[in-house]
Amino acid sequence: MILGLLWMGVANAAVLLAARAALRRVETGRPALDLVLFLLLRFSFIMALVLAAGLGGFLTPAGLGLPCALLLGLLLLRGERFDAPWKAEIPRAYPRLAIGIAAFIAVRSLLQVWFYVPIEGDATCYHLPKVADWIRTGSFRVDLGTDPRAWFPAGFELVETWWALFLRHDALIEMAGLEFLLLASAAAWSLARWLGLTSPSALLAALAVASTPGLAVQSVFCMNDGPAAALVLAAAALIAGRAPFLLLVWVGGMAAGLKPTTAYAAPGLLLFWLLERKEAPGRVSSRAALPLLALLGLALGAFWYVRTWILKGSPVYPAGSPDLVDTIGGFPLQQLGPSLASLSTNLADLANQRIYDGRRPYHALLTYGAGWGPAIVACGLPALVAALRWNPRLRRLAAAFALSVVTVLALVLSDACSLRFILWFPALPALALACAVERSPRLYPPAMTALIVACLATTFSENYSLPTLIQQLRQDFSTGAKWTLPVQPDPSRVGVYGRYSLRAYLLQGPDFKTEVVSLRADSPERLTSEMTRLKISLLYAMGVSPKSREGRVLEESVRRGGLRKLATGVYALR
Amino acid sequence: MIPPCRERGQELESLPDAVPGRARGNGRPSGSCSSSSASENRNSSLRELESSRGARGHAINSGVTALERVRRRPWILLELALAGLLIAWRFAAPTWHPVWMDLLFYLALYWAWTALFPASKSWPGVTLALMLLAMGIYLKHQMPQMLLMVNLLP
Repeated sequence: MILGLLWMGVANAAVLLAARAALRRVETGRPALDLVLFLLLRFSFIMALVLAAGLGGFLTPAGLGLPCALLLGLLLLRGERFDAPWKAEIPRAYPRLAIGIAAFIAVRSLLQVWFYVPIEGDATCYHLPKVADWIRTGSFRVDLGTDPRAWFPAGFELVETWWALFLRHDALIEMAGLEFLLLASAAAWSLARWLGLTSPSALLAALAVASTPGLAVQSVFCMNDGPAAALVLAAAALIAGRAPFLLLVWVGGMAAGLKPTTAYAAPGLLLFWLLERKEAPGRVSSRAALPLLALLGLALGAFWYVRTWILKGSPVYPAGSPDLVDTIGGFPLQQLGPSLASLSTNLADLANQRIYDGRRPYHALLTYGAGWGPAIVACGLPALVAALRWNPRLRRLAAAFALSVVTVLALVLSDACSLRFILWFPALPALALACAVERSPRLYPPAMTALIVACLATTFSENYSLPTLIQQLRQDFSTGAKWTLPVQPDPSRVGVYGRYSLRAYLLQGPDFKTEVVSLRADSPERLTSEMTRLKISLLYAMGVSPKSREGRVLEESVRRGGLRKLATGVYALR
Repeated sequence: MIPPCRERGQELESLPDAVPGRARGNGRPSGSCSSSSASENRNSSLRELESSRGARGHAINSGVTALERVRRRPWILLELALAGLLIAWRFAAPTWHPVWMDLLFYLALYWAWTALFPASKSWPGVTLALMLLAMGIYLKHQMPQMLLMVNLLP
């Protein structure tokens, strides 16, 4: 553990210093936009390092730590230094209450990172099992399992791997999401400055974004919708700052490699770029590094699509494939191509119900909710109606975001969780709120009250209610989320069977020691013989419907005596 | 605590018409007390904001009637029509709450009001009232779920 901490410190110092050095070559001279660029540089370096180590088969603490130590030494020898952020003076113009809220969000989020374990459904089903396998085997050459969604681009998982690899434990894995929340806030700050707001008002906009329940909850539950929204906002900030086009290519590549649905917001961003073209182009310190960055971004995005194209025959697999259908009803689980019906249902659901978040508590998947929160809904939306009237730049941004909302909601299936794809939209009312508060101090108290309520409300979510957290705190550090399983898994190897909702990550454990093998047998005999051959005594089929093909095979295996049912979804080999 | 560099008592589109090129209110450019680095390139944004205000400043003043305003800026009719459509939709849509508990309904009313009275000096008060109302509506829906999470509801 001590050595792991050492490697983690060295690697993070190297990446921070490298990002600082790279920023010197592309900085714009605007502090807010440069902060966005700095965070983006850090993410792209982390993604590139983990990708290279995974492909090269040296994805181990020392395998990644040694090159980073070398890089750090070289950068220090070249005289690169990092300005410690804690030495920066907080300007007196910032309201103390706003600084207090910022500190509360930071401390609460760090505590959540430490105490929470990943238990959210999608993350434990097909995002994190890959991370666990990569770390356990030290390479990317692993079986992606039976859930076809595991083939989606995994740019965010690269950053999660970075935070779990060195300690070989997932205690800090949520830091990846938290870093992207910081990026979203920095982008909002940058956009607020572009709108002509003062720094205290920009801080208010950033806080409103950081306390948006959808983004705040996603950031600590290993979900990639929040990070995708952060990249959309970062792209908007770069467009607003008239950054060179190659920087947009760089961010676009990263975003496509993180989540394909970010591309659905591209029409609005393109419109924004067209509307902003008449502005004077932004300056960067040097243009020499821009093609390299664009290539890096394209590589980080293209890698996943080329891999999937080669191995599965379609770059966007499983989108549009018959593999991605409900195991019982046979209806598609995702939509490929636009649909007016989806657009109208999604918009109606948003306006009629989900905007109030009244059907379910805040949830990482935003089930039956929008996750915009009181500051955005109660204060931001009225402020938006008012501020659009006097701020032409806000009007241009609003036109772009409105187009993106239409394209995204037309392109995603209308289901219980569809509004997580527009998590970047709350930044617009947040900016409008900052505009309105700057114009009239009378609006400051309700804005701050709403922010405080939002911060308190996102301390707990449906994934982690207070009773769940208390139960988690009673567990041993090495247990992770295993206590949520009906039967504790074998420490060395277990099997999973089924298509979706297998939650394999819970079985792998927080230290990634348990090997999880995906079984694909289509008959009771093959299932039991495969388990015998692979020396698997426990089989988990959580979430498998009895009416599905896998459910029928399991039932038949139990009836014939090959398997013994221990609990719902858990079977033992006789 | 209110940020010290906030401008006070300003209306939506009412400008000190006699002082073109200056930010409204206290007469200093908005953000002039910004504490961040001067390298933040904001001059163009200020110019743009100020020119947009200046261009419309003479056409709009708080003394004209709503009818006169519509005559001078006919696109207000389009805004009013859209707000009216939104209100009609809120009555027609199958919501799970009554219209008087519907945020979009109030936002549409507010939109119509800002279109008709863009120079109203009471906009901060009206906006404040709407924010409080919207907060009440949001919390009425969301609060039970919030309490459920901390085990304060059965």
